[in-house]
Amino acid sequence: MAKNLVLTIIAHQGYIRHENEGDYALQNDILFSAISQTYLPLLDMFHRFENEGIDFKLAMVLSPSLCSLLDDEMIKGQYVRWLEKRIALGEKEVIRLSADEKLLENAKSCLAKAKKDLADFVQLYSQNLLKEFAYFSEKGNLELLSTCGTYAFLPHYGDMTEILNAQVEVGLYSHRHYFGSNPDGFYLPFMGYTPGIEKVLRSYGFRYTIVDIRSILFSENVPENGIFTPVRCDMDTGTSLSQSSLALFAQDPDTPDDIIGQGGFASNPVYKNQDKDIAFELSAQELVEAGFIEENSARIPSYFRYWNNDGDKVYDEKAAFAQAEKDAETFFNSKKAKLDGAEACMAGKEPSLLCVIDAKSLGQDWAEGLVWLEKVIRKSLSSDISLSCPAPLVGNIFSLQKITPYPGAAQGNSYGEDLLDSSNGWMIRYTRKMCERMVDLSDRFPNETGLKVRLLNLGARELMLAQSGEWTKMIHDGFFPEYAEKRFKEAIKAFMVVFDALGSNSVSTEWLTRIEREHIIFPWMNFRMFSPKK
Amino acid sequence: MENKLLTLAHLETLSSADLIALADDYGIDIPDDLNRRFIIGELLEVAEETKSEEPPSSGMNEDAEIPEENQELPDSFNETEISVILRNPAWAFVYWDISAEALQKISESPRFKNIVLRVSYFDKEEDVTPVEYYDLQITLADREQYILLESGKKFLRVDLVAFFVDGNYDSLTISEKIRLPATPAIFSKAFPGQEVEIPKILELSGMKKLLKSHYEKYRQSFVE
Repeated sequence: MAKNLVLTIIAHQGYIRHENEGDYALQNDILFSAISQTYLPLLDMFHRFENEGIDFKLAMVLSPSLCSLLDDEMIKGQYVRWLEKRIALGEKEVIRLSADEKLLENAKSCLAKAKKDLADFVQLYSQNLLKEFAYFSEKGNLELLSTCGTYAFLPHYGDMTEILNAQVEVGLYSHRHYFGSNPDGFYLPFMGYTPGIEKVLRSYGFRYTIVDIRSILFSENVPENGIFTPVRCDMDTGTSLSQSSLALFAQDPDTPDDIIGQGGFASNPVYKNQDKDIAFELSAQELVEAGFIEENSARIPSYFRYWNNDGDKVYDEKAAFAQAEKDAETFFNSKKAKLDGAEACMAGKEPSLLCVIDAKSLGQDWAEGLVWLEKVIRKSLSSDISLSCPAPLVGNIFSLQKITPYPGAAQGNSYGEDLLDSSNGWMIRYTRKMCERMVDLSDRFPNETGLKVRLLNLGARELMLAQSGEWTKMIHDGFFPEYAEKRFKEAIKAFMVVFDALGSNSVSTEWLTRIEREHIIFPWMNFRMFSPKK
Repeated sequence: MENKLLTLAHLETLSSADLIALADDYGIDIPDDLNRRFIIGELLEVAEETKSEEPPSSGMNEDAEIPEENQELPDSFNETEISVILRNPAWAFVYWDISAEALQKISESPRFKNIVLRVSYFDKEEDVTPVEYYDLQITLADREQYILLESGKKFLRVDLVAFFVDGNYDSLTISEKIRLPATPAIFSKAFPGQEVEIPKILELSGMKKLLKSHYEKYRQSFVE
């Protein structure tokens, strides 16, 4: 009897793109560090498996805004310069630390990593990481799920069908654009389930989504197999959709805590201290002389990190990797125990367990996260647990138990509360008002051409940028809150300019061209995606 | 831009469902025995027609002033309206706007007494009469409020109401009714300390931990 473990990696990045690298170095760093610490090592791991003939199975979400940035020539050039600066700093570090064997070893390792990243990015992958992910998807190793256009928290728009449609349609279009395939699965940002979204997803051809456990376990008709088989949504029988259904997987509730919760694997003292960076330790003069920063400019992380989580102790890579292997074993055995327990209760049915892993845990928040993941995957090879992608587990959808899901999310106190609280509650009146206006505009100007179409498409893009879930989250988390507020306000103001321009039949083409150039996300945007479906 | 989407190469990539939706957007009637080729052909025809009908320019004034960068977002959209968003099973977030005219009319009226949010619960979406309601005192300057929800209720509506000294009132605006999540049956027998029999597979799924954490955060959802 097969027991299936589904590992699902969620990779998302807000649309942070600035021509002026100097002024936004810290914000640009979010993406560049993710490329270096997560996406390149992940691809490295995929190729390693391929070379060894290992037929691994993973599921992954690469959000449309992340894809847009990874496909952006300006961003690619910035990333190469970002790496070159770190290599220059590393060369100086190797000289500076020549008398300290342990620190030198760490500096050399960081330098080698930066050099390898540059070589891999430019030569091996020809600056096209998306093509690599698409390759492994085509090979059947990686099942790519689609997600919302700009990672909007859909429960905040649950009563606005056109907005739900647009976020889903842009996500689907983006997926086809970057990966050339039609995805089976759709990932709800923050796993925010709101009643009715199943009809939208089904109408775009999706077969399944993933929800937090309360959406399944608090259903009136509690699933007889708990979270160990997918279930299906009870659809409205009064519509044509009654002939179809949407499958739901519930995430394993323990995985996030296993990894980054209090006392989770990532907090082990032996692992690399991701907060203590040489760029925050050296004198400003040394950093300027290394060409790493300009004089009097903000310090930015270098990713030259030589210490572990245990105070000021020097990082020991060998010991950290050995611990990652132990943690992989602990993780794998705990999931196996669940699956074995479920199998005993399920009378001949095949249990499955879906674990959602934030890509940030794999390299960024936890430096050894990818070493751990590789060990987990290798562990499965010698076990009766199979790694699987989600779609094959849906099988005959009509054989799945029918439930009416309960609202919920894997965010805040399980309902996304931190995305609407006293820190960011002021934002929603603007996004929802602009949503109403966008739907109105798309209905009023259905057959426009020329300049008006440019305006309408820009309005659609700006609205979607304003809806980005990360702005509210960044403000709540205190993570560049002023920046998030600025970006949100810019998007709303740009939309308002579009709205006024269409009303007054008058626009500054200079302004329009500038904003179009700055926000090149979704160049294929069609504002009619916001039209009410007739 | 839109014609770029109506090319043969692009249309061939779309699912039949997407083609039907697109045809619908363009007002093309699809016969019952639909044929994929037929829809693509019709859409390409529309593309051709649209192309030939395109005016050389949009007729817009293209030399408007460049918008100011540092303008703040408006405090009001000069409309009187109210919206309710369910924040979680225990709390709703309500926000509203009052037009300048309505605000002036109320605040300058010598008969104006106070303004409230009237929170009403309904059994059915189509019901006119609430099963229960209460008023929450607010000020004319307020624009948002969190509301603690009563458990076991089905639909919620919030009205913005101005009261006058002569006993009259003016219902300024009312929200859409929102459906509240039904209280899961298990809540009624899942109080801490109460022995609740949970099947092994649900325990492995995390049901016990889930109930405990839900009780800690939203104990008002549990009905005795």
